[in-house]
Order: sequence, then C-alpha cells, then structure tokens
Amino acid sequence: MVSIQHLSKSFGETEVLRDVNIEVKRGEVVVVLGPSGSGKSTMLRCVNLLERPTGGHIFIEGEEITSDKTDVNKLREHVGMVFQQFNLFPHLTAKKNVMLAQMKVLKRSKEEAEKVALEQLARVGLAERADFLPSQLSGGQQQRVAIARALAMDPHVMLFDEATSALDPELVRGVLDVMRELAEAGMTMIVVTHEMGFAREVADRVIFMEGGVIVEEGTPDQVFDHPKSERTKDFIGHIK
Amino acid sequence: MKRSLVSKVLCYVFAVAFILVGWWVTALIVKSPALPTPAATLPVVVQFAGALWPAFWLSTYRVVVSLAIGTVLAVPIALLFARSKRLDALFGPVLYLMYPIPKVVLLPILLVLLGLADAPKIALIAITVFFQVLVAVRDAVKAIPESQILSIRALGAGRWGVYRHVIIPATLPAVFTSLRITTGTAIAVLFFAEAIAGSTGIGYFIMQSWAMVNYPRMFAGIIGLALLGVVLYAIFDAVEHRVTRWR
Ligand SMILES: Nc1ncnc2c1ncn2[C@@H]1O[C@H](COP(=O)(O)OP(=O)(O)OP(=O)(O)O)[C@@H](O)[C@H]1O
Ligand SMILES: [Mg+2]
Repeated sequence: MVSIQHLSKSFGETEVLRDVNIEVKRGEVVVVLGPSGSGKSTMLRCVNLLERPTGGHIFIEGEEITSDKTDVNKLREHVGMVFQQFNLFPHLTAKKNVMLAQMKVLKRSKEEAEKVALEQLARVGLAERADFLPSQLSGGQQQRVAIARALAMDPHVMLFDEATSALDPELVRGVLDVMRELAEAGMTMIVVTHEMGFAREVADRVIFMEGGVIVEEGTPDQVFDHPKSERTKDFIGHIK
Repeated sequence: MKRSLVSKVLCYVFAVAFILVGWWVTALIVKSPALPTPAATLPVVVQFAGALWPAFWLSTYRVVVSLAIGTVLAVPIALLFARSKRLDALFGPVLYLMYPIPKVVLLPILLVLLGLADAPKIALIAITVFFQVLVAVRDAVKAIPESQILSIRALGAGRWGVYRHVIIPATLPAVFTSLRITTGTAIAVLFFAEAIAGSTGIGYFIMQSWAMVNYPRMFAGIIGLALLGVVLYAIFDAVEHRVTRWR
C-alpha cells in the first residue's frame, strides 16, 4: 500500500532522514515513536510530498510518487493528513469546513459535499455540532472535525502527526476513539503519537525512530516489552 | 443585539458631548477669534461651505488616490517578501532602514521632480502609506503558522488555494488596520504638502485664511480637514471589523 524505500531528506547541510524503509500493507496501522527532532514529522510529510525527499523512493498503491511525473494534487487526494494543530477555517461552521475542500479540490456539487460532510461528522460523533463554528467547539471536537475533513476526501491512507498532542488530557480520549474506530474499519494508517496505550492496542506494528533512522521495528509486544536496543528501552521507560 | 446598538449610540453621543463641552470651555478660556465656540462655528462653516467645497473634494481625491496607490503597490510586494526567504533577507534591511524615515522630508525633492500640482502630494502620501502597509502585511503573513499552510496543502490546495484561503484572509485585516492607523499621518502629510506648495486643497485654504487673518474661514477649513480624517478613519475601522469577523 505504502512503500518507503531508502528515504532520505536533508535541509541544506542537515540530514534529517537517512535510509528510512517502511512497508505498510493495506489496512495496517503503523505507529511511529521517537524523541523530538527524530524526523517523524518530516517522514510523514514526505509521504504526501509536503516535503520533497532528497533521496529514495516512495510508492503508494504501486505507483511511485517520488518520480517527476507524479501529479501531486492527485496524490494528495488519496492521502489524508491530520496535524497537531487543527487549523480549521474559523469563519466556517464544522459542516462547511468539511465541505470546502470537497468542492474546491474534488469538484463535488454542494449537495454531495454536504451529504458527505454530514456522514463524516456523524462518524466522528459530531452530527449535532454540524452548524457550530470552531470557536464554539472544544479542542477535541475541532480535531475530530479536522479528521472528518480529511476523511471526506475519501483517502486511501491516513497520516496522523501527533493529533492529540495539543489537547487537554480529558479531550484526548475522544480523538483516540475516533482513530481506533477508523483503524477497525480497515483504514491504512501511519500514526505518529506519544500515546503508548493507543499504540499497544491499535498498532499492528511499531517503529522507533531516532536521529533520522529507524532504530527498532516490530509488533507492539516486541517493541514495548522486549526492545532489542538500549535506546528504545530508555525511551519507552521514559514515556511510560 | 438591539441593546448593544443603543448603548453604542449612547457612548458616541456622550463622546460628542464631551468633545463639544471641552471645546466650548477651551474657547471661553482662550477667548480668541482663532478658536470660536461650537455655537459660533456652525454658522461659520455654513457661511464658508461654498468656498470650502472644491478644496475639500480636491483634498479628498488626493488622499483617497494616494491611499489606493500606496496599498496596491505595497500588498503584492509584501506578499512576495513574506513568502520568499531570499527576498526578505536581501531587502529586509533596506526596509528596516527606510521605514522609520519620516517620508515628509522627501517633499522638496518631489516638488522639484513633479511640480506643484497633484502629483507631488499624491506621491508623498502614497510613499508614506506604502511603507506602513508593506510592513504590516509582511508581518501578518509571517505570523501565519506554517502548519496552517501545510494543512490546506495536504487537503489538495494549490498555490492559489493557499493564497485564497489562508494568506489573503490573514492579511486583509492587517491591510485595513494599517490604513486606519495611517489615516492620521496621511492627512497630516496632506495638510503639510498643500500648505507648503501650490494654491489648492484644504491645507492651502486654511493657511491662506490664516494669512488673510480671516479666522472664521480658517476655522471652517480646519473643521473640513478634521471631518475628512474622521470619515476615512471610520470607514477603515468598519471594513476592518468586517474582514476580521469572517477571518
Ligand atoms: N524546514 C526545515 N528546515 C530545516 N530544518 C528542519 C525543517 N523541518 C524540520 N527540520 C529539522 O529536522 C529535524 C526533524 O524534525 P521533525 O519535525 O521531523 O522531527 P519530529 O520527530 O517530528 O519532532 P517532534 O516530536 O518535535 O515533532 C529537526 O532537527 C528539525 O529541526
Ligand atoms: Mg513532529
């Protein structure tokens, strides 16, 4: 589904990613862990070409996206991304937030976009908040709107970059529940998070990154309970 | 809604009353024909309205055209600056040095180059406005969190989409805030330019009356210029509120 091969990325002189290899099968949930600055965000952004890799290849559904011929906009239609900051349009209601990109990018009619928006808002548990402005929603609700907005584009893969890190602890749960349901529904997901409970429960595979390289990779059991590398052990000990 | 409107109107009524009383008391203390009481002013303004009218419109035209030119030049340049690290590194220091220079000192040069009519006045005000808007818009764009741009690009927005949905909504309030703040300076520069060069506009009208020792006429001119400032300020303020709301 997603195949990252020998990915490297430098900003000028600084090498941020080095020879990163990740295979994600259809319906698989891969959780990426690592200390701040280890390159997790940069790796995710390479997958939808928000950052241009400086080396290596990335394939999505068998198609190489890192070739010059890739239609970047077409690619982004199939790859949804949710960030730490929700970045909703503050002047638009939840429903309109979910409708906008559908109409502008996918050229859906207003009626269709509205129908999809209401479906997706219901899916994230916000059906009755459709006409609220972002300022009238809690952080967790805003993040769920952002997830609905990404899902409305019918992505084949979803990328989450610390989607719960900006939330108050009591709001984290609702967002994680949505992500869990999404995983159970068979969505292919790459998730950067510090939520160990979520990783343990939902991840098919856990990857530990540090300094731009993959240090360890395995099932949650392997990585959390029997880490091979000292660094992983340290990190997991710290975060528990 | 209705209540807040009523209380708003009351606030303005109070403000006007406060200004009138202050003015009245000052006039009674100063006791000079150069500062008539509010009661004495109304007939004066009516009396000189005919003479003032052409000067008022000419000045209005000059300010409005200058504001438009300054803004239209500043906004695209500011957007370029803000989105290009290289341009900003190259011209940032130039801007930094030019920004605090009081542009009004350029008037003599502009008079030599552009003559005594509209051109030097419009140019001078436009330059003043240009720098204010340039800096305000550049800073507004720079203040947009990178994540906001990333998240809309991730949804499939192209370059234009990013401008349309992130950058322009973030900068419009800055444009009108800077215009509102610059209005006072722009009117001051207008007055100065008209008073010094040429024989048209309210600035000239006021100083000519002063020279003729026609204080009521002079005062009518002052009222006209003040009115121009207040009206422009109120317009920019209203627009700023609108664009900030749907931001
Ligand atoms: N646009 C950029 N220009 C230069 N350096 C960058 C840029 N973006 C990221 N970096 C550097 O790349 C490294 C990895 O950053 P990245 O954001 O991918 O880390 P991360 O693992 O997501 O960290 P965090 O947990 O703090 O989000 C950091 O050292 C960062 O300073
Ligand atoms: Mg990050």
